[in-house]
Order: sequence, then structure tokens, then C-alpha cells
Amino acid sequence: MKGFPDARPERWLGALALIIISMISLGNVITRYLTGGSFSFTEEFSVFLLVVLTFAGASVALRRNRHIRIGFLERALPSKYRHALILFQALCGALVLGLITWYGGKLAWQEYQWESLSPGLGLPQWWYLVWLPVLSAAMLWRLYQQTADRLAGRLTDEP
Amino acid sequence: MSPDVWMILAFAGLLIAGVPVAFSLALSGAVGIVIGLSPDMLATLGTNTYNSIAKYPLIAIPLFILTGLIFERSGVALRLVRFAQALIGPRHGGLALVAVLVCMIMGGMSGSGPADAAAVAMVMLPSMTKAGYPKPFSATLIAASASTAILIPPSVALILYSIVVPGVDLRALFAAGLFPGILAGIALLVPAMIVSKRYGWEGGTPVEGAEQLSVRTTFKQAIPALFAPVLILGGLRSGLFTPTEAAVVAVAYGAIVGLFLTRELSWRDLWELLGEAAIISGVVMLIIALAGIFAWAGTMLGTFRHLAEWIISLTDNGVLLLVLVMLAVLVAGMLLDAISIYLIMMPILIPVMQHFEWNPVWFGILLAMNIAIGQFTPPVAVNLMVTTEVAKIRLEQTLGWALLFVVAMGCALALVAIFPAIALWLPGVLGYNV
Repeated sequence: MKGFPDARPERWLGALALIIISMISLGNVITRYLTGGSFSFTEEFSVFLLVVLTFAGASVALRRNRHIRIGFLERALPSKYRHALILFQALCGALVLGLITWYGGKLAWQEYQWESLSPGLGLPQWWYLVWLPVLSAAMLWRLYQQTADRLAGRLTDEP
Repeated sequence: MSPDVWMILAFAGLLIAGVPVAFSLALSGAVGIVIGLSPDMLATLGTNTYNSIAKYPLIAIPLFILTGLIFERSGVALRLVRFAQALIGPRHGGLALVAVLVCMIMGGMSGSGPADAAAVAMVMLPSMTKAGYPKPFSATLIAASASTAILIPPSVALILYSIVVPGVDLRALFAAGLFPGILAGIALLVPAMIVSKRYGWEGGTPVEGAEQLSVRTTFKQAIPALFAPVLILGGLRSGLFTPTEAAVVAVAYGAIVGLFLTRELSWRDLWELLGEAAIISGVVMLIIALAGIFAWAGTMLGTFRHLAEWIISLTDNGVLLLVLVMLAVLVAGMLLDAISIYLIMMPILIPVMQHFEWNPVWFGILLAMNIAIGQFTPPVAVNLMVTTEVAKIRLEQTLGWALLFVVAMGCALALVAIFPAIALWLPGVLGYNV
């Protein structure tokens, strides 16, 4: 994907999460055949990395305007209305991400106060949960960058 | 107006306005919650988003996406094409046959269509054009054949179906997809061969300057590629691996092939592919994450139940209703991807399916075939967009060919609908619960 704007920290984070997930899963297969037992507690960690992978990857995709959507209205509209439509799309995205950041942050804060521990590894639950508001806040920033680029005509709408 | 109607109107309106599917789902869910329940319940946007994707079986999705990317970059498609060409030799429609076969084998190692379509189109289009096939025909044929990837295991869409529909064994789904996938390939091949013969594309004499391919050498080069589907499907069949484990073994195998056997993959490429896989997974998984809010709101408000009751009340005739559902999914398939369609439609269709006692595995395969057809039906066709871009032609030029292949694959769909055994025989023989 040359020529597309990049969101390097998120891309690295996503790639790293995917490597670790692969390593854990592969390690699990190998140890299961060698010893017969599996270390199922790693499930919790893999699943957490999956959440990180999702939001980090989604953040890069947002920066590049690659999320799946139906684009025919935009292509059909004359350009003066298109700017309004792009702003409306950005507003909707910002609303969703704002709500997730707010309620995700609240959730992580509650878990921090209750000092709840994760069922598998016994780690503080908020260590996992705090990534959701952090990464959705990052997505808010990428949404702003993407919208600015699209309004200036620097990013095409074609998928 | 009731909150149900508000939620559905909001969803439709946002989709048409071009808001990404994931955000449309979350926002219309939020609209439903605010109007129908209470604004305090918006707190579910935190928990629901996290919990919708914090599920172990979903780990197979990014891993299969990565597998597909690795195999494409390892030069596997080219080796498969050369082997198939050597086997089939120059004849009318020979390259068309090669294209369909290679798309299907590629579908057996990656989980989604558009990526396969791109890989095969890049390798095959130049030689097909040289042999006399018109570009619109080749682009459409490759787009259509690559759409079988969501039927031929492993399939990302079917993984999701097994999570959305309770009590469906993923291994049974994978086994059930194999024969309908092959049938769909044959259905595409028949008109392709007839048309090639009729217009005399790719004559009996070899093209000037074409190299002679020996079956033996090309087979040797294709072995690593041919072994991949065997490893994945065989591992699943023998119970050696769970689907997630099969996915990670495939990733490791693909990396070894690319790094050490074909040597077309460098460590640097591998790192880039990991990033690319993370982005594609992010797109897919964000929809899954945010569809959780939509599903929660729809269940709490009873929207899905109302819709299901309305659909059931339309007619007592199960066959007629099945046809209606199929048409609706076909239209949805032209606009959206398989994952979104399963997430949006299954909560509504599960009660309908239970009411008419349709087999969930068979029904899932029918939906997947329908969605596959939607992927190459203009105007909004993901696979066609990819191949026409590689061919440097406009999407409109493919219209006639696309309709021909839509009808062909529609026939395959009808066969599976009339004879459920095409899908259900293999999982039954393998002893899975269907």
C-alpha cells in the first residue's frame, strides 16, 4: 500500500500484537504435542492482544479511509455537497469513537478502583481494559487527520 | 414511531450516507438505546465493544488473513499457474480452466476472496490477454472464481457464522463448504469453456515465443503450494488441530516456504505483511466489535424478534420464503461484505431458520454462496473492483460477462438448495454433527 498515509505507531503495535498471538498459539500447539498439556491461561492474554490488534489496525485503516462503506452517494453528489457529506461522516465517526472512549475510560477507571483481577492470570483487569479508550482516542485523532485530507482532496474516496 | 423503526432507519440512512459499516452499526444501536431504553444504558458501548471481540475462536480470523497474504507474496500463485498450464497445455479455454483452478486452490489457503482475486489477476491477466481472451472476460472470470474462497475452507466468513449461530460446529461448516465451492467452480467453468471455444480464444497452436513448460519441473516447484491446503484441511480433518491452531500452523508453514523455499519473501516483507494483516483484520474485527452494540440494542428492544415474526408471517410456504431470503441476501451481498451480512442478518434469520427447521449448516452455506455471487455482481462488487483495477478497465465493461457468471453460479446455488446433500454429505461422512 504505497502512497497511502501511514499511522506508524498503530501499524507497529498491530503487527507486534499479531506476532505475539502467533507465537503463543504456535507454542501452544507444540507444547501440547510434546507434553500433552496446554497452557490455557494464555488464552486470556491472546484475547487481549486480539483487542489491541483490532483497534490498532482499525486506526491505520481509518487514517487511510479503508473501512468498508458504501460510497455511491459521494460519487453521485456534486462536489459542493460532497464536503458537507464528508463532514457528516466524520461527525458520525467522532460520535461513536467519543462514546467508546468515554465509556471505555469509565469502565477501566471502575475496574481500577475496584482493584478487580483477571480470572486467568490474576493481573489487574484495568491493564487490559485501558487499551480500549486509549486506542479509540487515537482513532479520533486519525479520523480528524483523514477528514482534513479528504476535504483538501489529498485522499481519494475510491476503495 | 417505535424505537425499532428509528434504529433501522438510522442504520439504513447512515449506510447510504457512506458512513463506515462499523460506525453505522454502533451509532444506530446507540440511537435505539437512547430512544427505546435509557441514555444510561449507553455504558454498554464500553463493555460490549470489548467483549464482542474478546473471544478465543476469533483469533483464527487475523491468522488466516495473514496466511493468505504470506502465500500471495511467496510467489505461490505463479507456481500454481505454471503447473496447471503445463498439465492442461494450450487448447481452447485452457487458460480459463487454469484461472478457475488456481483461484480455488488459493481459496483453500486463504480466507477471503478479494486478496485471491488480486494475486491471480496479476499473474494470469497478461498471459490470458496475450492468448486472445478479452480483458473484461478474464477479469470477470477471475473475480467470480475468487469468490469461491468464502466457501472453500478455511473461510473467515464461515468462522464468523459458527460464532454468530449457536450450536454450529465450525469443522462441519468447513467440510460442508467444500463441495458447493467445487460445484460453483465447475458452474463457472462450463460457460467459460463454451464461450472460449465459440470465439476461438487461445488456439491449438502455442503462442509465438511461449516457453514449453514441463510437467515434472513445474510440479516440483508447485509442491509447497499444493501441500498447503492438504496441511490445513488434513490437519482439521484428522483432529490434529483446532481451526485456530490450523491457522497458526499455516502461517508458520507459509513463512517457511516464502523465506527458505521460494525465497521470494524477505524478513522485511514479513514484517510489512504483519502490518498489512493487522490493518485488514482491524477493518473486519471493528465491524464485529461494533456490531455487538447493534445486536445488544436490537435484542433488548425486541427489534430482531419483531422482524423475524414479520418475515415468518409473510408466508407459510418455506420454499417461497427461502427464495425471498436468498434474494435479499444477494442484494445485500452486492453492497456489503460477508462478515457484515452475517452479523446484521443472522439475529433476524435465526428464528426464521428455526421456525422452518432449516438445517443451520446448509443454510449457512447457502448464504455464503449468495454472498459469493454478490461479490462479483456489479455495480458494487469487491472482487470485480480489484480485478478490473489490475486489468486497467472500467467496471461497466464487465457487465455482460458478470451477468453470465452470476446466472451460472446461481444455478449451482439452486442445486445446493434443492439437494442439501451436496453440502451435508461430507460433514456427515466425517462424523461431524450437522
